[in-house]
Amino acid sequence: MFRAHQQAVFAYFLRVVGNRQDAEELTQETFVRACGAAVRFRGDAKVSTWLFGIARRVLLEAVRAGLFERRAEFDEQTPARADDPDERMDLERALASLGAGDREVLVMVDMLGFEPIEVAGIVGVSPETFRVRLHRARARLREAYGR
Amino acid sequence: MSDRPPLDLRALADIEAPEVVHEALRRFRRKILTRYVWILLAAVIAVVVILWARTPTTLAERTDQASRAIEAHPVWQAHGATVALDRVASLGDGRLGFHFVVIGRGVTLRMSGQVASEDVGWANQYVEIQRPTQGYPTLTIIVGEQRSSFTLGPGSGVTQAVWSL
Repeated sequence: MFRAHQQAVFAYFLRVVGNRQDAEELTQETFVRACGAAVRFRGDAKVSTWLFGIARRVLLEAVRAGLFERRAEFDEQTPARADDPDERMDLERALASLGAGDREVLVMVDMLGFEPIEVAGIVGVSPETFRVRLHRARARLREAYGR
Repeated sequence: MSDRPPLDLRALADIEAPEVVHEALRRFRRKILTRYVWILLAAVIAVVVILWARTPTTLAERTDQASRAIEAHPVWQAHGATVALDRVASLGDGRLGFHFVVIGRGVTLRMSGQVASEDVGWANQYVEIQRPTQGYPTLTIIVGEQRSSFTLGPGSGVTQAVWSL
C-alpha cells in the first residue's frame, strides 16, 4: 500500500521543498509516522488523503523548524520524465519560482490530481477559501510560465 | 475568476522516486524497539526502587518484618525496671534480632555477642547478636550504676526454639 503512494508523496515533497535530499528525508519520515498511525486508520477517508494529511504535518513541522524558509530551487537532478523536456523544464522552473503555499496547492490539485475539496480538508480551510487560494496560485503560475 | 484552464502539471509527478518505504519500515521498527526498551527499563527501575523502598533497613524493621521469628514473652525485673522480650527473629548470616519492651527510666540492655542495638520510640529496644555457637547468651539490664545479668537458657522463660531459628 505504501509503495503505491511512495512516488506521489516524494513528488509532493520534491515540488514543494525543491530539493531531492530533503524530499527523500520527509518522505521517509511520513512513512515512519504512517506505520505508527496505520493501526488508527479507520478507512473513513481515502488512503491517499490520510497519507497526505500526515505528509503535510511532517512538512509543517519542518517549516516550523526553519528548514524550508528558502524558496524552492529548481532541481535539475530530478527532471520530470516527459515527452517535451523543454516545456516541462520551463514548467518546473515556473513552479519552483512560486511561494511554498502556492506550490503546495498546485502540486496537490493540478499535479497529483486531488479534488480541491479533499485538499481543503487536508489543509484545514473551507472549500471556498481553498478555491480562491487555488485560483490565485494558478494565475501566478501562468504568469511565471509566461505562456 | 478566469476561465482559462489550469496548466497541466501531471507530468511533473512522473519522476524517479527513491525506495524509502523499506528504510521507513526499518526506522519504525527501531523506533518501536527503542521505545519498548525505554519502557522496560523504566519498569525495571520502578520495580527496583519499590523493592528497595520496601526492603527493611533498620534493625527494628529487619526484626519486626523477618519471616522466621518467634513470639516469646518472658519478663525480667531488675533495679526497678521491667524488661519483656517480645520477639526474636532470624536476621540471616547467623544473626538474631531481639525486640524488648522496657519499662523504666535510664535502662540500657546489653547482650553477649551483641553486634548492634537500637532504641525506637518509647520503651522499644532492639538488640542484634551473633548466634552463640555454644551455650546461651546473657542479657544484662543496666540501670544507672547497677546491673544484673540473666542467662537465656532453659528455665529462663525463653523458648529454646529460638536458638534453632
